[in-house]
Amino acid sequence: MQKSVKTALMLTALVLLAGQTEGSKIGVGAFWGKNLPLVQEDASTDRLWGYKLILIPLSFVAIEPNFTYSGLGEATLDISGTPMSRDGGQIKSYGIDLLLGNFSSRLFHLYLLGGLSSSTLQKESLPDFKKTAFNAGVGFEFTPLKMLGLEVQAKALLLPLEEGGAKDNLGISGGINLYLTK
Amino acid sequence: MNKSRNIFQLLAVALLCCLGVTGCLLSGTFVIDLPLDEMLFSSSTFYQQKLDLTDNQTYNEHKDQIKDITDIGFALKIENKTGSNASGELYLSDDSTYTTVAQVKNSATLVLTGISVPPNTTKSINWSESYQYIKNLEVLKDQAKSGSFWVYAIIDNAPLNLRIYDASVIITFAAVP
Repeated sequence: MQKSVKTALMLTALVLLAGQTEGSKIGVGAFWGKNLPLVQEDASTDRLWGYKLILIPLSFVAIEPNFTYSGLGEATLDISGTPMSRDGGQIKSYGIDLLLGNFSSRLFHLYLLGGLSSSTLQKESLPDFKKTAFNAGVGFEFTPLKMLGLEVQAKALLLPLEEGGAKDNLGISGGINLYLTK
Repeated sequence: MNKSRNIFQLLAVALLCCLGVTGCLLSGTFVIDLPLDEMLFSSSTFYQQKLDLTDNQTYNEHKDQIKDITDIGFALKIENKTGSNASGELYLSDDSTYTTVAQVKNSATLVLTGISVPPNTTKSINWSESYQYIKNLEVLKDQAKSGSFWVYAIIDNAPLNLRIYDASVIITFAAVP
């Protein structure tokens, strides 16, 4: 509860900061795509979707609190001549990303991103596993209208496991962003 | 422009450091299937066999890099050729000296229970279904981490005309090169 209040206060401060700076923008976005598990024999390609708040306080910095669902498909194994499958699970992430790029450009811009997320790995018949995950990626946004952005993004989600190692995923998504301020 | 380039570089370096420290990069999860010998219950209600992960090629390729056992499941078929219901349990231990059902039940760890096979039928339990019968998963993971362990199968109310075959233990582990 206390964490939620702190997060809400922090977001409010960011929104106020963004609103007071010349050239600042606030927006919301939604994205869809594919999650590609990297070197994970217990998972397969599955869907990815999410939504985010976009805060651009400076022309070259954006902050994006977000929720991302990353499906992990299923694992398939040939056991004694019979193909068998097992749920690969899913990762639900509540995160915040820092984006660096030229956000003041009129038509399009490229950006780099890095961030952290509180991620929960859920897999059938196993207890939920929750840990801080790392995010990094690149993206491209095309803004045909001042209030509309069309975006493609490649973002890695690296979820460290309890005793070492990690579940590495690459999300490829496309999305729509709507900007609420000029 | 220079300022933003410096921030880009700083972010990239910080990110790579974080990932390197936590061993996230180049990590992978692998699934191995360890077949069990066929178990015939014709004169005894008790069966034991050693399960050695070091016999598995994938395990051997990664054994020095294994960080975590993340999941364990089973697959097996049980043929009950009698006129009465059969039920049984699987136990694990790193002790190979148990010779009686009582010793196993008192000292080994119960890992599979609740399986019941109607008369004159064959029951198949696949990888995904096996989780409803698994108990003590954390102990099971610890045993798997040790590299080898003993599996004890015990048949309750034994009709003694029973066969367990096409059985496998399926282990998922995380490894970092």
